[in-house]
Amino acid sequence: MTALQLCIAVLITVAPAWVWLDRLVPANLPGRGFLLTGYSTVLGVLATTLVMRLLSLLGIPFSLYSIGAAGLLLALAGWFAPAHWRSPTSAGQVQALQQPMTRLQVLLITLCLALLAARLLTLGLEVGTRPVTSWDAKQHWTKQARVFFELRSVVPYVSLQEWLDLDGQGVFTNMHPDYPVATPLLQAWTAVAIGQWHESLVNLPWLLIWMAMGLVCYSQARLAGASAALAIGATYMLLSMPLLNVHVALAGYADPLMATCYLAAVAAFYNWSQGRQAWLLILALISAAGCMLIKNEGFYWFLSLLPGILLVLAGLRRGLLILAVIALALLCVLWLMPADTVVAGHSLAGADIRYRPQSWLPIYLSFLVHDNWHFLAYLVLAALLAAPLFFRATLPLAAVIVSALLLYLTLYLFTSNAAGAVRFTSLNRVALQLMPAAGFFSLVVLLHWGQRQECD
Amino acid sequence: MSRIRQSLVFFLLLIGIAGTARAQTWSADDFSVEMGTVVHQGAGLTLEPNEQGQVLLGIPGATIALSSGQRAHFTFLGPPPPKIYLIWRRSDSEQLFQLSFATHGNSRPTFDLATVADWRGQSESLQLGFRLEPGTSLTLVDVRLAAPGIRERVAEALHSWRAFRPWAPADINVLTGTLTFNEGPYPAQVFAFFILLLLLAYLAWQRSRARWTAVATIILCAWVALDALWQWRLWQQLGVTRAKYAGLGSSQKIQVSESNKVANLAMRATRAIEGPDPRVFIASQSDREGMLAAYYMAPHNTYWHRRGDELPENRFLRPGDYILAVNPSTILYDRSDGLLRLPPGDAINVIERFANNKGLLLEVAP
Repeated sequence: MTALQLCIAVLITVAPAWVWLDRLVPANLPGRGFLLTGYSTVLGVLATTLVMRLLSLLGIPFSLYSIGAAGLLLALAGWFAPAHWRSPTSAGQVQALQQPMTRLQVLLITLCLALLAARLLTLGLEVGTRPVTSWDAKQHWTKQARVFFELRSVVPYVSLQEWLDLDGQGVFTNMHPDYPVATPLLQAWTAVAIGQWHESLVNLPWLLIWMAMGLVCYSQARLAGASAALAIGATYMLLSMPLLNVHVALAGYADPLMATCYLAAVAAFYNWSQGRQAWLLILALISAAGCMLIKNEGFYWFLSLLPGILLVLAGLRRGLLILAVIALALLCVLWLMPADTVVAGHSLAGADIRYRPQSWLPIYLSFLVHDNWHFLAYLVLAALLAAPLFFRATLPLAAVIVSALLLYLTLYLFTSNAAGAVRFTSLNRVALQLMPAAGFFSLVVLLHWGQRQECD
Repeated sequence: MSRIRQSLVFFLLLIGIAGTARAQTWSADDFSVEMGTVVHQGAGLTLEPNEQGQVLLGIPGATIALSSGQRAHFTFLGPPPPKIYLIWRRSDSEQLFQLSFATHGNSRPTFDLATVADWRGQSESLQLGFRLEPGTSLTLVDVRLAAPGIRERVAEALHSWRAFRPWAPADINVLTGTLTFNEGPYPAQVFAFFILLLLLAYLAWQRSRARWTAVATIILCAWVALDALWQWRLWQQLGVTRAKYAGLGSSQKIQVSESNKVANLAMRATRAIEGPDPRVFIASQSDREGMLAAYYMAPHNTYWHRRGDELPENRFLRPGDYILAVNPSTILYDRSDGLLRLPPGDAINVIERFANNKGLLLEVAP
């Protein structure tokens, strides 16, 4: 019965998004099914949390029926949406490198699929067996989820002092009341679907998100022109990153969902930058906007797309000039802005801006020494060096990745969050949000090298 | 091709030679017995302790170079002593230095001297000490002082990379790929280095004929090799997880988890709490215990101030509020007077709902 309820929950989550995306995505694309499944999962998850917030606003308690009804309405609306909203089926798309598969490619595909299957089984059993374990899950995310589930509603969270001042009437409190609520709502939804709070099953969405990440990576790689072997190899490398696997096994943190959402945005952006198909830009912007529903830094990851979009629309030279002007303007704004102005949950006063060189060593260790990402960071570095020298078509994507990395470095080298670097607490968790996208960038650079060789 | 083969053979020979590090070895004939009795001398030196249970061996006439890169290797026949004492005097100091190591029943123990601050310079004398139960004996075959060779270091690195330990809380933040945080070499870095060498060799060999597919294949194969260590660890972890939690229901899993004591306290508190929408203040000096209590008290409306005062000021507490104190806690509860004393000198009337070894639940009285 529980398995059936979970399947229904997945259907309610994915199906409405699938219907709408089916209208958006052109019909004749390589890996279309994988693309639809991956993006429907990611965007469906976020849309479901929005539905839950709407239901709370309307005073309707969460249940499989209320959320299911809303999902059904959304699906029907997509089904009956005007025909001219559909993307033309003859829209051009990049052709995958059309060569017959060699024996080595077949071997590599088989190997990667077997390894992925083994990883899926291991992580699936681990997350399905162990109860809520991780610190932040118990301290914040899952605790909030439990409240939402038991009350069948989103309830407001305020700071400790506000809670005391309000006598706790109609409000709850925790250490981070300003955090977005998508992640706790995801666990609450799972509990609502099975009709009970289950310490292990509420973590199953993390496995779903992990699979969605793989589908997004594979489908966008195919769209970018990668062969099936290359795409599955890259997908395997992405999904096997140790720290990502730990976050699935010890589920409850928001970072894997953010990582998947940001990858979805960046990958769609890249393919839009190559073919200029509107549906890909829409996908990129929706996915990037979705990042803001997950964690406060999602706002900055959303902004990181803008330099890339600018380079595509204005051209490289003009775009770089405009970026330089915008960067100067931003510095002026930061200089003149009142220190207590809050942007995405942070203020200048709280950030305590000054140079913190003590963060360099942890950053170096985390990326180039420790096994958090195996050796993906080396590949990203090589790609960042190669892109401007040899593969200028990848520069818009490089601009996005560099923007995100610069924001990341600013966070740990110039703000009070440096403590999270020195103590190795948040440093890698925030990096986890970016690494899949950075890995996709490395794949793209390799792909361009391959395409150049095929042309020569 | 023949040139490559020659280079490979030479490289392997070099490793083989380098693998045997220079060492100083002392066998049974080399020791002078300063305490204890020799009962047999053959393949090893069999010794019985004196009346105080002591055995002391000296290495006479030896000036030994001490360095932090050395390791002390001991070989015993049969059961080893529980502890080994290393005693030395340096040429630049009158002081006698002593260090002890536990053998943990290992008849061929090895001890790393890297972290011993005084193990440096020249030693004028070196002694080995053992403590035994009267009537027992030990057989020492040899003692070797050597810096680990490449073979040994490689073996240690592989052991560290393959070693398994169950999930630790910090694993959600950082994974080094080694057994201990600060000790390398780290597998990701080593693999990256060898891939770089391989790719440079390939690019140098092929030059303009270098194929991107070959580069991609090398990278993928190296990743699979490195990832095999990680997959192995995940399988072992799965075994531990399933041994502990498989087949249990949701509440049973909590009972066998590390947080069961706090969870049980919270469940008992939940049963004892009455009234609609009560507020519950979690008071604890421990971050972990306070956090767990707040989690297991959900969906009650809880107040828990991490790294802050255990309780807010008196003016914020109302009749009907509950205070769940989780040990260790420093709240001043006067059971005889039914008072909870708050800084700066306030006191409120409380009713004790229950108390046990883990904590207690108080209700703020009217």
